[in-house]
Amino acid sequence: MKKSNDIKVKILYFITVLLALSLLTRLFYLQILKGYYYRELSDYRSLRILEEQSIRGRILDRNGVVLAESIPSYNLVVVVEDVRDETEFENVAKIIKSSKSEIKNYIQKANMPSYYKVLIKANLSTEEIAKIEEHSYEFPGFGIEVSSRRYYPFGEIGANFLGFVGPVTEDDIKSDSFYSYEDTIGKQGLEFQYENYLRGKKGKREVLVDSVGRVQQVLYVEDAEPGADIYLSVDIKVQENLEKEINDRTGVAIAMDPQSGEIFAMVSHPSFDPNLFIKGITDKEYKNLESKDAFLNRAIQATYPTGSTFKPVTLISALETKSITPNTVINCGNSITLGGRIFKDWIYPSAFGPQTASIALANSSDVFFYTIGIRTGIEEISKYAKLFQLDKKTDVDLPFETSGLIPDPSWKEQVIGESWYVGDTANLSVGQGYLLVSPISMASFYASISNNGIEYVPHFLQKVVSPEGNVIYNYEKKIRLQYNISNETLKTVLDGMEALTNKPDMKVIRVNDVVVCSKTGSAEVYDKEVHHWLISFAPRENTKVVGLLFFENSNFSSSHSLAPLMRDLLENFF
Amino acid sequence: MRRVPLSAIFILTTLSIYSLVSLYVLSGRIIYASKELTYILIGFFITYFIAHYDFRILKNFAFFIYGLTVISLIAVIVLGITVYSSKRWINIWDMFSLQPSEFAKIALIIVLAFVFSEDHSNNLKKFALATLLTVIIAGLIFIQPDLGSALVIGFIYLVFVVFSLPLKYTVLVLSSVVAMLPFLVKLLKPYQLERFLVFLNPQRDPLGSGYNVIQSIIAVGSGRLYGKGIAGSTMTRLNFVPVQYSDFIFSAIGEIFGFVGSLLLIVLFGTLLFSAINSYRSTNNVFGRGLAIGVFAMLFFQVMVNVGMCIGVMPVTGIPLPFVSYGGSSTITNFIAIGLMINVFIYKDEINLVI
Repeated sequence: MKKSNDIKVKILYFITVLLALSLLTRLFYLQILKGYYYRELSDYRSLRILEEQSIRGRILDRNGVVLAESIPSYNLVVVVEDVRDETEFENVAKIIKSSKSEIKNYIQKANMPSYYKVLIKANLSTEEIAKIEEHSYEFPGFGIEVSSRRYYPFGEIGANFLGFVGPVTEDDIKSDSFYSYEDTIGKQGLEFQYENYLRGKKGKREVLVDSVGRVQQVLYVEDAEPGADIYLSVDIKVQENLEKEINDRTGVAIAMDPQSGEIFAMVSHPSFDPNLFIKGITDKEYKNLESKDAFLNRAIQATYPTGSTFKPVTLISALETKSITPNTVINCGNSITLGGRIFKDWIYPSAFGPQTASIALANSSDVFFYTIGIRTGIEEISKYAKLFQLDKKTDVDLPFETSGLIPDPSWKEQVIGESWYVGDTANLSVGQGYLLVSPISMASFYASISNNGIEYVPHFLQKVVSPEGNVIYNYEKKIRLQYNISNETLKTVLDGMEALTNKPDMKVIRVNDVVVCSKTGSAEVYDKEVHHWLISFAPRENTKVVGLLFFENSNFSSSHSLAPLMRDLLENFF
Repeated sequence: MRRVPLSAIFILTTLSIYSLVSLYVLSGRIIYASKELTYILIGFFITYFIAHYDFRILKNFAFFIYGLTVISLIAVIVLGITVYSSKRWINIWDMFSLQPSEFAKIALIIVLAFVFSEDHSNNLKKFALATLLTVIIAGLIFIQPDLGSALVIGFIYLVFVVFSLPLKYTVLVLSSVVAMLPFLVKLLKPYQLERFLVFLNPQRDPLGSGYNVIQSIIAVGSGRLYGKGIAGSTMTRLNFVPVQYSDFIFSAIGEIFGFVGSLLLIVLFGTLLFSAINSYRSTNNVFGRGLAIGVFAMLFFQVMVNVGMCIGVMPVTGIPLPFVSYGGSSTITNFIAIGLMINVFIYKDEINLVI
């Protein structure tokens, strides 16, 4: 007992001495052997963590054509401390076509310590770079610094879905620790939508700085990783052609694949050049663009009355509820009177006379649709319109999509505070009245008709490819809605749409004799010109493409006048 | 009053001076140092008080103290104040806050000393009871979460097992810890695990978890032989070393007092540990030996881990440096421990207490 106690006591003494010695050995190493080194380090006073920006990923079309990329930007900077005399300012000013006072103004505005680099001019031209390098000995305080900037090679083309980048806001920094001041972030469109793929990973450098903030030693470097590239379903050639078709009119053009939801092209005009934001847009330019609603992507962020392009919805609800059959003949006069109000056919004072459903659809006879709409009833029509989700967002992969409006009695009661009249039903039956639908939603609806009632979520993204070239995300098509339209109903609608396309003034659409189904629409707008719609898909069987043309307050003479433009659109595919 | 040896007064006073000076330099204000001074004065009073009474009376209160500790630890979890995302403190009448995990160390020492001093019990029963009592306390502290204090508790228990039971129990404890390691690792919070991984590989995250340690090493090393003094200790003053008031206080001492000052500090702690060993071997009273070995274990582990962490040879865990780190509960706990240690020495010749 006593003996084992002795051993235990010895152990205690031993481990105490061992602890003291090992701590002292380490302290001797740190404070005596390496004391000078650490004293030096501590004299630098501070260890700073500097960020290195990552290179933002590219956006490419389906064929690998670059639509957005980050390119080096050469900037003229000055370190005031290194400027020897006043002539330097004058010499530099000459090259960049500025003035001495302007340069000094920049320096004053930056309000930075004199050893800091102050930006004088961003995005120098090659000519300027050459001159500056040639004369660099004349102004040692100035230098060229490389950074990266976003570049959109196609300018306005595709700008509405590509979006643009801009400086982060206070809120961005608060909501995501990734960002810090002076960062850029996707603001609109796909740049916004796929920010997390595109932004990459920032690099970090741990450096020791001296008492005035100069980097003295780099302790640790973690390289930045470039962002991933995103590939779109867009074909930029088609996009360019459609932009030309819309020209300087206000309108929308969409081309999409109904069997997958892939968008080949989406035009919204007026548009803007996203490069303007990088170069620095003037207030005047910005206000001018804003007054034209150039930043609004009309295809997804605006809703419009659809006019006759809604008629297939009315027809489907009438047929599916058995309110009429495909063979029901209705003798149509030039107008009908409802609640003391006269509802004219568009052909008024002529009349279409006896018609079946598909012929009436081809004729777009308003009287026929008023009649079957009233026969079917508002509840059924709005039910079917909602079934096709015309009042819902399509969930296209773009930010800030808006949803449409399908009026019904309870909505009218609540919002307008009036009861529903039979005239409202008639109006809705021909796509007038309170109905509002976004162009992308209409295109999607026609995609579902062309695809036996199966509608895919419209989308841009095809795949995401890492900087190393590995596909890190592959988009799988997603069904947005599926409705089993009876074959008979479908045939009636398609027959009508085909017959419309075969009318003499529309036949031009049939590029290479492909069977095309179309529907036109003119939506009346209070106090302004009508909106014109033309939605087509081709071929009738196994449809490859749905095309949509829309002109806001159009200057065309009728919706049929859009036929040649639709032919141009389809020519991209057939 | 004459019972507290002069050497102990000298050591505790010197350690207190280290504490007050570094707290002043760290905070740049007098407030922390003056608060700590209050704790130290209370601490001295407590040491005198405890040294004065025969420690063996504690035997009768061992389970009472233990029960009180468990209740207060539960109270922390239920009512506790959250600081740095862990609940460690409870408010007493909104006047001051207590950190029961500190007092729990003393409670555990007393209850384990009591359990192992029971004659009419076999080793297996003692072992089972001691293990149960330890696991309850360690568990309650671990979920606060306060990994550091839980480790101190575990170490005290381990030393008790080593010194009070045959070797096979030590083997049993160590092998079960190893066996349960994968499970224990899962219990750790990600940041706690990260600290261990960073310790094993400092390059893992030099800007994140490794930052504190790098800063601390630079501060200590820059003290060189004589230290930079109060005015020159820029690393400490400019707050490059975070959470210094308790955890990284040794880095301030290294910078301010240099190698000479650090050497003295370590010698002081060594002397304190020697005194604990002295108390241990001087008495034949099993309960008293238990108290001494428990106090030894507590001080030994805290000094090793805290100083080791500041000089980069131990992983980062929030364990205060006895008598030096800022904090009332911790300071007073240490003074209680020293009181017990002195007491054991004073009453070394008494074997049984008859009440």
